[in-house]
Amino acid sequence: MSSLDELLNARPTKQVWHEVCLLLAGLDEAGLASVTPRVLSWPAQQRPMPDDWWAQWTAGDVRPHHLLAGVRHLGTLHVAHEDFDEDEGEETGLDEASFYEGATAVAAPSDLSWVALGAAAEWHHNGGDIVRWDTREKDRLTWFLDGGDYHDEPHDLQLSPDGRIVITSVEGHLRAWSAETGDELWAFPELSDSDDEDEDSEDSEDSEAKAPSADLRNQNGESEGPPPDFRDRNDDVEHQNTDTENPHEDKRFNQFDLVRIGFSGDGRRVAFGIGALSRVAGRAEEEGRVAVMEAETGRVVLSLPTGQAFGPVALDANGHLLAHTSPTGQVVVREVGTGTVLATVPTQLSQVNALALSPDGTAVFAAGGTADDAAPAAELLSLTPSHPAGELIQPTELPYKIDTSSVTTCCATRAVWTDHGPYAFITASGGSAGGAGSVLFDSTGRTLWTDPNHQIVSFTPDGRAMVTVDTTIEAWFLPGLATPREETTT
Amino acid sequence: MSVRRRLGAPEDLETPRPLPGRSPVPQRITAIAVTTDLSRTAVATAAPWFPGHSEALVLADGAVARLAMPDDRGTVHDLCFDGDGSALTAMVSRNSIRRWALDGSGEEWQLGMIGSGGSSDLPLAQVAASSSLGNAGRAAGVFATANAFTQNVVVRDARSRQVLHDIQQIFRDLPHDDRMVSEGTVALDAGGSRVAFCRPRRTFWKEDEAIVVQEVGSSSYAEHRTGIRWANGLAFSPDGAAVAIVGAQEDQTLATIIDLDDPAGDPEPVVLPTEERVDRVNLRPVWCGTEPRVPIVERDHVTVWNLATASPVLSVNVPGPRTATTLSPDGRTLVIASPDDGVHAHPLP
Repeated sequence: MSSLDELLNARPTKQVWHEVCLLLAGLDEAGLASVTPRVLSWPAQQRPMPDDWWAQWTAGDVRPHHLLAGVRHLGTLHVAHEDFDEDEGEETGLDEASFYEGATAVAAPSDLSWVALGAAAEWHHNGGDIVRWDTREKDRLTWFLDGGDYHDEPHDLQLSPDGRIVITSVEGHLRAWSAETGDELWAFPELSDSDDEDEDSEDSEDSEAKAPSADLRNQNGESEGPPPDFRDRNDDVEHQNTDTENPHEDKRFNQFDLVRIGFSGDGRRVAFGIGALSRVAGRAEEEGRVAVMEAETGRVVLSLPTGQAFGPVALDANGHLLAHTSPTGQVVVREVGTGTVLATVPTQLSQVNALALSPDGTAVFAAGGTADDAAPAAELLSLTPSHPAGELIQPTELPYKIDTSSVTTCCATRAVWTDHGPYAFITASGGSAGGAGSVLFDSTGRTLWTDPNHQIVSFTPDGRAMVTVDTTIEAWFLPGLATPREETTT
Repeated sequence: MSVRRRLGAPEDLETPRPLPGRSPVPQRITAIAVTTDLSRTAVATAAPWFPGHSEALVLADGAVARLAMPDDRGTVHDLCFDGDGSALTAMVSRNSIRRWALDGSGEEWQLGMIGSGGSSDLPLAQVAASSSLGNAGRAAGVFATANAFTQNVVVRDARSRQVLHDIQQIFRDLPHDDRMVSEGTVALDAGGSRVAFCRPRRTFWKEDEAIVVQEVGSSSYAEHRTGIRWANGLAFSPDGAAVAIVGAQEDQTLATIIDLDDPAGDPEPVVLPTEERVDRVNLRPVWCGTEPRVPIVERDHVTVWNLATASPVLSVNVPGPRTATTLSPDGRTLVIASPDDGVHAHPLP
């Protein structure tokens, strides 16, 4: 057998990497530390996690050498008109669900033993299937929602950090399921018979027909009069700005709103926000709303009046702090228990599409786009009293233009705060003039991963992996994407 | 066992501008061409993670020349050198043609197939070049292009780009059902004076698949039934008296030889015992003297078939199906390009 030094000097191939993995598994901590920069200098895509490491990882037995793997191929979606077949003839067990038009949302637990996938709707006849797919026993599917039973598709699919609850928004309702059984835990607003009738209606493809006032009916099923505010479900909490007349009270929570969802680190609370902040052309989006709920029951614990807050949203580790965007182009942090504003921070971003709160609650990482050319950008916002303005962070080494002005970017941008700091993932589907692509970068602007296509992603709750879905499903390991700095700068 | 000769290393096929985190290794080789003396080999590569998805390069004398490709995310379906190897033509998806002069000016052309059609990514798209220069008073050779998207066949002068033959134009006055169209296949005879293409059935029920042979620039034509449902490629014999065709029907791969001097002859296709029927992809028959040959890629090997006898000439193992293969214009050498193995030439018996 060749020495590790010889192997790492060789051209990266599957065979050489296999031998490298055998040797890495036998190294102690100091040995691993000494070879880590050289291992990471190999492209992450050429460092697939071997089967034995994968078995240990998905069993929760994560070892230090596992973090040197770059990627694990999980499966393939059988998408229509796909020109690049990752593995011809591969059977993934996903065929029972329909991904004919691709996927729109994904979520994965930290052990990556399964992923939740939302399929794109086939608008001419059904919605997108939402399933849990086992990445080890690949013929095991758990159904959350059958596309034949509704007419929409999920765009933000979130998983509680403990892996127990899956939440998304379709047809104007938040829907929460048990990840284990697929049983629905709650829906908000509650589903009613009329919702079912709407699903069956021949007119269900009409947008107005899909946004009935019943979508906002309160927990008592009252549907007369103007739609109630979310406070109807939450009589026992205090609200910020409740003395302010709400000029947007008649706004509907319908399936065409962009709904963003974020769990607290302990999984007890979940926030959702509707609408995206955009200051393009000097006009702020003013149609959103934000609320925080108990993840287990869907009970609202904080609701902000419309016009005061927008999606995206982020909660801190224990769900005491909420970050959201405001119509004045600022990022706002509130105390969830009282709704009290703790900090209001201006941002240089023209669009804020994702937020992540630092574990200690002293900073927010905002991901979005720039005003000049809608290029991917992020900003690290300090919440300390002096509120120093954050520098605009733009990914380096981006080989092509990514146009963040599309709706797909609003839905699919993600931010995460890991043990190694915050990361932003920005993607765009592009238009006739191009602008498609995806990029993952950190708070220094270092580009860790790119792709020329629009990708759907989810970070695992522990921040150690990013699952990407295009026509293939891949798990990319964030520590394994950290190319040594000197390699990046040369 | 043949003694293979390396024309290019695996690293020669890697993209020189890999994206962060992504492999420089192509996912697959989409097309390959080689000159008779093996001095130049052209390879087209593709990967969904490449910046432009596709790249084209020429290997010559141990050097790699990377050809400019528009960032239109197209896939190169076919490559063909001019007879003297001085220029290279590529059939690209989305109805595009690229042509590079490899000597002298390095001029590039970007053309489009004349006509419009259906799905822009049908993989059957071919280019053929005359093997000798200066025919019919032309100083340079000619090249012909066809694709399934337009179903057109266009022959151009290699130097002036002038269109010499355009079957949509030639047959435009015929009733719609009588117009000649190509399945995406095309061949030129050695002098570039005659063009041939495969015509699909006129109706689903009428088994009248045929090749159409024309003098370049002429509206007259001769038809010869092939008895092959879907054609993948064809080639004139060196003396121009016959055309070899390879294709498929139902679950079989078929081949036949058409005697152009016998227009009333009944087609008698032979079955090539491939593991699976060939799909709707480019196949490029080449005559080695009087023996028509074609290389076909299967899951883990490439076989060169004698189309007259339906017997294998040579079979070579390859690492995976994402390879491309071609025969040298004299039919004496098999050339295989693989992302994992590089480019190798295998002399044929």
